[in-house]
Amino acid sequence: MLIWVLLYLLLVFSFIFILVIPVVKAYKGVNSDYVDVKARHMAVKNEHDTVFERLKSLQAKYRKVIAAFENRWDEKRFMEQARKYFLQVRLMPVESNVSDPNYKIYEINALTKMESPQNFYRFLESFPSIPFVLQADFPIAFKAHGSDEIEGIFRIRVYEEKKGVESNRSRESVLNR
Amino acid sequence: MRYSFIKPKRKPSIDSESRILAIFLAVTLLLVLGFWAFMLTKKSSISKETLHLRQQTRQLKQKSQSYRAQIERIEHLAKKYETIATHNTLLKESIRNLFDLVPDQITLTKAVLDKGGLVLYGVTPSKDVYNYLLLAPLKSVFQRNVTTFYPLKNGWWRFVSVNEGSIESGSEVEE
Repeated sequence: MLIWVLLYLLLVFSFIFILVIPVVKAYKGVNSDYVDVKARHMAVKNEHDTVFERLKSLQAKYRKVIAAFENRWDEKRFMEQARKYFLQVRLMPVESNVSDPNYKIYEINALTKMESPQNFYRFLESFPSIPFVLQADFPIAFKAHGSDEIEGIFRIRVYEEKKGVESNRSRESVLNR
Repeated sequence: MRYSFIKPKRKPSIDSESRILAIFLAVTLLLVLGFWAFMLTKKSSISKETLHLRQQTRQLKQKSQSYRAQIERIEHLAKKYETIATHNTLLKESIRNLFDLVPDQITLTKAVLDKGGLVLYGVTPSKDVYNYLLLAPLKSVFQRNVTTFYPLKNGWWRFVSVNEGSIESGSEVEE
């Protein structure tokens, strides 16, 4: 009987020293690693959430600005808007000598007829409502045409973002989240 | 021939105390093995969870990086838009102010504005009217003014006023 008990004790202690203690040690190591990884994950997740919130708020705030830079230049749409302010509008593309690595820039001479310079001021004020990024520029010329008409010629620069189309998909995916 | 009045019973190979002890020993052994198996499973599940968390952390980092790039892009666009809008407003105000300088007595027939200055063509009843009412304010805006007068049959003067100097309009839209 005593031999059996001794044999049992030997077996139990062997199991404990050979199996249980190494696995508990390994578990402790893995668990400590897990705690570190979890803490780092939470920190990264918090940072990610903050950045994502900021991105969403910026996208909401500058939705029109982003769309304006992404819109491809459409002369017809521009003319529809311009005709509201001028009696006549004609556009003449000019070879642009302005370059920007981030933007595609079109330069256009607008040949217009208007009743008074007020039309020109109102047209400039309407730029934020036009779905393109427009910059009026020199040279600007006004010439009396008859007694009640002014011929106005001015330069317009249209800014298009070069990378806009490529990055649209990722932005849409963010907005849809 | 029988020597006993009772029926003999077979002696059990393990007595009851030994059996209880054996069961106890077996249970404790099983407990030790069960604990080992439990720890092994737990360790393996935590290892998998750690690996999963590491992957998620890596993905979140990549996403954050992409979001940051998008934020930078939007801020850049917003800044550019703001600069262009300011340029347009300044340009409009500059032109409005220049035309406001022209008194009612003088009629403009043509105005050409460029980065380098302003050229005005018009008709004035007299040189004095031009000099006092238009040239004086033009001198305060431009560095150099040259005016040429041409007499008209009705006694008025046609003038060409060349004014050199920069017109404030935010000039170039630069980053």
